[in-house]
Amino acid sequence: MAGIALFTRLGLALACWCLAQPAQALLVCVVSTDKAGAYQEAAEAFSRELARISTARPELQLLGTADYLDSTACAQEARLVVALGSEALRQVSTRSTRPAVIAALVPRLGFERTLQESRRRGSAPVAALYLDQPLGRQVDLLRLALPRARRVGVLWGPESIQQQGQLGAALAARGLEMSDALVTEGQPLIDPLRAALQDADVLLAMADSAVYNPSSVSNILQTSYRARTPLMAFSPAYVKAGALLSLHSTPAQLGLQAAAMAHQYLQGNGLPASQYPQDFYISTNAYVARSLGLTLEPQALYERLYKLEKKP
Amino acid sequence: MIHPKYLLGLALAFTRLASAQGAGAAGVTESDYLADLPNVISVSRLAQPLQDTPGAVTILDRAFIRMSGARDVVDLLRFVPGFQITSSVETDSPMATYHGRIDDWANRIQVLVDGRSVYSALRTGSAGLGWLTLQLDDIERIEVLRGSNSATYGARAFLGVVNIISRDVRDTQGAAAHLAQGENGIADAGLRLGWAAGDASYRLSVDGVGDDGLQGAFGKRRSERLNFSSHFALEQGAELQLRAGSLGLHAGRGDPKDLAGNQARMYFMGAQYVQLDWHRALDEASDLTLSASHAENSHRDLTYFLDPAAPAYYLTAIDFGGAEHVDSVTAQHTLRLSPTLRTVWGAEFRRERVVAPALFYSTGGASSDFYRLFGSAEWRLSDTLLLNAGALAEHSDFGGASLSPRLMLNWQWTPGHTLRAGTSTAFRPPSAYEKLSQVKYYLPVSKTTTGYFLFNDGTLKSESLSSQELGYYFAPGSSTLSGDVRVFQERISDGISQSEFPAGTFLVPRYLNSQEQDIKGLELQLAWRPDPATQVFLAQAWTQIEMHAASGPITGFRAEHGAARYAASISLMHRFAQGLQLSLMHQVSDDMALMSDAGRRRLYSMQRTDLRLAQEFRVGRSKVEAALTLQNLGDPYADGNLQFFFKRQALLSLHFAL
Repeated sequence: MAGIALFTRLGLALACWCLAQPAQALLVCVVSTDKAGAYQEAAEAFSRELARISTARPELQLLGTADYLDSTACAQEARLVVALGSEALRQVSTRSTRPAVIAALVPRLGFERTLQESRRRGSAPVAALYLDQPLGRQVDLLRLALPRARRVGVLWGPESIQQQGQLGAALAARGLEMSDALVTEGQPLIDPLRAALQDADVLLAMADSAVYNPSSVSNILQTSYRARTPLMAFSPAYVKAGALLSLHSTPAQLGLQAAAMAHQYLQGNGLPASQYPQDFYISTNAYVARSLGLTLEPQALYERLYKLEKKP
Repeated sequence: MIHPKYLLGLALAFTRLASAQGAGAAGVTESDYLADLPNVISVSRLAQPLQDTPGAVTILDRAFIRMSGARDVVDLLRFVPGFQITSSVETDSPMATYHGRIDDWANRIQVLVDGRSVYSALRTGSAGLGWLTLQLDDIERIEVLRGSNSATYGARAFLGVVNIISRDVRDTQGAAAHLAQGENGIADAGLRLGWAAGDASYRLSVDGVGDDGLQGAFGKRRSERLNFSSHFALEQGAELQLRAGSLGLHAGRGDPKDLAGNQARMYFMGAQYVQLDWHRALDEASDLTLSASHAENSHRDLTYFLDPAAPAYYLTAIDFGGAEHVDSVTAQHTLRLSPTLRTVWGAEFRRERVVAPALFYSTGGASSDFYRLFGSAEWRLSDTLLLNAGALAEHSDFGGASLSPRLMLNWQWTPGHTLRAGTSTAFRPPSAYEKLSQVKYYLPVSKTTTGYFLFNDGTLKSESLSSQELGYYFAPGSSTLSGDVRVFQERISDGISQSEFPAGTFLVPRYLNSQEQDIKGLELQLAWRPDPATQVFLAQAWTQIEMHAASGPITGFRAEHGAARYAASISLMHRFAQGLQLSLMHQVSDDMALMSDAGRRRLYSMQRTDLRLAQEFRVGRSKVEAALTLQNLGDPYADGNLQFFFKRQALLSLHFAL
């Protein structure tokens, strides 16, 4: 498999680099849910960045979840485990003896759920770098991109509904109204979708696989497009599929931030608090924008949003 | 950089993962953020914004359709600038045309229902029953492309196109019903069921429409309709839509006092169709649509000559009946070649077979094959300049080969304001009837056959159109007002028209390429939405038709005044709080000829005011709307015939959404 071959190549490169280090180096285990794609991208960025900024010259081990369960070194000798993805976090959490953990590529709700499920077992500290964007940032972007929008449609799933209060408050704080509906299991999507789109100027997608998944995306995007209600999504795949824009962080951005968190911990400053991504990326679908009579400049939007966040 | 191959592998893995999650335990994981997705709003689905369209467009949406109180599509088109309509069923089903007509039928515009041409070659060829394909509650919107569109929609889009687009089946889940009862025998009822199973959605609609027709006419009508529509989401974002329907219209025509071949009687028109559309995004920049359809139209109208003053003809059967089979296959490939260039190209094969022994004396019928190859490009020359260029090459058995090109340049000189200039050439091949119809009658009294009463020898050729237009579209972002102005000139050459002959001579009528006419005018539409609950729509049209040559003084006069010199409509619609809706619509039309005018050379004007009051409320979980519609509050006006009048009528209707 080409994906594995590349991963192995990276492993080899890191191994060579490790061999050159003193034997008593700090051990950092990077446990990845998958060895390709976004995980690999994040792992590469993490490794490169940690090597660049760390003076302690830690030894890095990259493992899949299965290898991790067999590795005694990661359980007993490692100073830090970096879990990439939900499955990796779950596996790491199931081990009773383990070092401190930084979880990345995990959305906040998934992180909290996993943590709750494994609360009984471990006692070592766990910090997360969330995959999702802070709600305030999402609403700020929405206002910058669609200044005429007043009503924001939201479709909740069984888990994402937990954010209803927070999002409602974030919208209200910026003078926007929410038009929301809950998708329940076994019920056709169309009724809540229509309810959320009713009088909405934009549909804000909140990740929950009970609502947004590869089989529902066609229905949601076509229905909202027919209603001329643009969709603001949480991943660039949605923009490619036909959403107007998305706010997300790339795996490379997350890898860098996770490295900074790891560095802080390895320097003995304690495990940083769980946090949202600092850097982010805005992608837009220029064709959908034009078709809806809108003009969006992703770079300009990024700069304005960045500036807005940096304001005291 | 990651090789696309890895992304694909990842995408597949995540697609499986996410699908499994979708079906089972829900929860938020990173795969929601990282999964790849099919291209949904693919390149051909991206609608052109109105400032980019190669011509003037009027859109009647679902809210407008409901609030207008109209009972059929034709009645809605009176709000579109440049259109003429009649609700008379005397000669045809209710009918609409753009920039006049030369005959009882209107055959110079193309009518599409969900992309399928509903043209019927029976008689002179027209949309015929096609206007009535869908019940109004199943229509999402009606898009009217004013101006020749043959480059995109084929030869029959000679003067314009009406696109009737049904509601997406995924939007119409559950049950809905409507009932209407009113003066003039109005009795309508309909039922719709929508359901889903897995990745498939379905809709079944059945309805009936009936009334006593126009005052003074024997034109009572009753139609029954059944439509089935389905949507299947296939692998890799592909979609399949299957539609089928059946429609029957029983209508009255003739005159109880006319014994010379036009006895009052009921006739029948029927239409059935099945249509299959498959669509798939090939990649981010291209997609493919394949369509196939089969339709059958029938017309039963048999009467007898009963005038005792001409005993030789007594009991002669006069049969206008016929049957038709239409098959069509289309492939269309949409391709974005660069961020500034989008192209569509495709091919269509269409076969129309008419069997009507009484109208095609020597051949019993006629069949024509059409081969069409079309292509168009939307080329963004700069941020403000857009060129739409297209052409259609067509070969048909009736019209030979023709090429219809179109060029339109849109200049957005400032955001929200676009000027258009364009030119196009189009050809319309004669219909089977115009080309080949021959009528003789069998006389039961003498057991002999008459000479020809109508004779076409198959030499008729296509009529052609050359048109130029200037347009201005405005929809400033900050304003609640938007509008479109279209100034046009259209020259029809070799126009097809039936020759006139003085009664009592041996001259036999036939269709000739005898008409030369210029149509010039200005059309204006304005939409004002001061707030989301209010809309005002104004349409105005000044049309001047100059005849340079005609097949006779009567047809010449009718064609010259086939469109009103001035026509306007204004609609005010408002939703009050608590679910109360009010619509007020007024329409005027000045100086128009009626097709029944047999030489009096009179022009008619009409005005009509409609009022609709509706209240929405809830009964349990059902949404109910009760409405009172008053059509034509003023005096009766002549509609289609100087003896037929549209008089005031009130109706009560109820819509339930369960």
